[in-house]
Amino acid sequence: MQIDKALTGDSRGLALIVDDLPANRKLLELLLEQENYRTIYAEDGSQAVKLYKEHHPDIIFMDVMMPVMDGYEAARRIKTVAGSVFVPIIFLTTLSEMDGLVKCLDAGGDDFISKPFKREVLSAKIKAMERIRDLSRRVAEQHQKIIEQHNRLLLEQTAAEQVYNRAVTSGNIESAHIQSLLRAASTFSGDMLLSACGPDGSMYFLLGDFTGHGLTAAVGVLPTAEVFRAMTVKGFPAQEILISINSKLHRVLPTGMFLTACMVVIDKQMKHATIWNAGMPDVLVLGKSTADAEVTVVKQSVSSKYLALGILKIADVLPAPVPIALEPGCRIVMCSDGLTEATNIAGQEFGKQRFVSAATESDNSFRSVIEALEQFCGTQPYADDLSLVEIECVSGLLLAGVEQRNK
Amino acid sequence: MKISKVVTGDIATIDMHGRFDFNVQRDFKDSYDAQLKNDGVAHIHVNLSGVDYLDSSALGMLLMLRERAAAAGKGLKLCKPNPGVAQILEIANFSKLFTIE
Repeated sequence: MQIDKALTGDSRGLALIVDDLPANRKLLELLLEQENYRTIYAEDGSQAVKLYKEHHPDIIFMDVMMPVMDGYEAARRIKTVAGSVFVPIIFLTTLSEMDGLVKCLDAGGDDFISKPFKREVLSAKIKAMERIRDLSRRVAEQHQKIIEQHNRLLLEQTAAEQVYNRAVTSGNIESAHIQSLLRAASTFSGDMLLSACGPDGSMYFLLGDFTGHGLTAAVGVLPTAEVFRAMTVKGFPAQEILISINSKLHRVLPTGMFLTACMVVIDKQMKHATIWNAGMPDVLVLGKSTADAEVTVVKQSVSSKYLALGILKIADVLPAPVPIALEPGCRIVMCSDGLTEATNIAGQEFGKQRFVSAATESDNSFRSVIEALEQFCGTQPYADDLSLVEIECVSGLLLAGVEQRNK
Repeated sequence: MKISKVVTGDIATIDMHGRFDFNVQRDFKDSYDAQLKNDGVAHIHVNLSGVDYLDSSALGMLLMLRERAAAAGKGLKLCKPNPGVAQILEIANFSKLFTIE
């Protein structure tokens, strides 16, 4: 094996000549030197593969019939080793081998040149291969750049999401009697849970679901949270808060985007809850069965009666809902449609019935629903942001409210 | 999703078949754009009988159509939703915004 005949000046690249006959090799070597290529050679297919791995030539000229390993097999192996890198292989054929041309291309050859070689033909074919090779290299570079950019964006988004979430949720009531899960389909959830105490001790909860998911959905969360916080701290009634949020979103969101939401206001003595549902799955009020204290039943199911927020200039908030009497220990459960519409591998939806069934299974609806959901969906990824909230109306919750107010 | 349109008299009917979701956006808009500019058309009917699935982005698209139809002075109706789709429209309380039959 003879390696590396250096030429003066910048060469166009390194060519690997694979032919078992020295005379053929010499001829091609001379022609390639005239084309300003450095050359190395191999005497059979097996040496060719080895040399490719060692030197990564820019172009390969491959004879077909050789001992040890023929050109077809060598070409196949070299193409496999090269992977996504384009290394042009030009087969050297004799006229009688024309029938084998299809075989050449099938084996991974990119072109062929027949002996005796004409200089102009060789020159033209090399140029054509170089064009393809340069194109292929550009594509690979761009691909790499795209991947790097994508990774950078993801990092930025994750960092931004953490800042964002803290800004939105700080200020929420903290209590063991409020269980919530907000699971984003990707970074940034379009679902949001806001909670706050009014100056008179009443507690406000707002679970919302912006159309879509990801960043476009999450954009509406901050302005909504601002309105909510500003108005709850002043003790505005729920109706007015909803009207203000609607106005804000009507201005801010483009047509076609809206916020479905349910709002729960529990009075300061926890005797009544007023529940507004604008476009969300039914809100459940759960309590003990009158017949059997061990059994949980749905005392009230509050279905969607209002248009989602942000659609109309004037909010649809009439008629106001009738306050619901709360028994001590009863629980209010809300979820977004990402939960009821979550699908399993067969494409079936979890659905309202399974949701209600799981919620009434135990006195910790939150846990039962999540277990049932995870069992149903298995490893199927969630297509939409999903959220689930359970509010347990016990004295501990009232205390949390008092603490929140005094912060 | 297959979308086709038929004009009978002054009513342009847009027939939809399949999943009405985010991917339909471009085609849906293309289907009604011409009708909105057509002076011979006074009403647009969206035939939902072939729609088996409707998500919130579809609701958004209907809201856009509603705004554009009103701006063009055309009437708008949503027609023949199947029970599943009718339920989605009901939860969304879209009967407050659209004539649904």
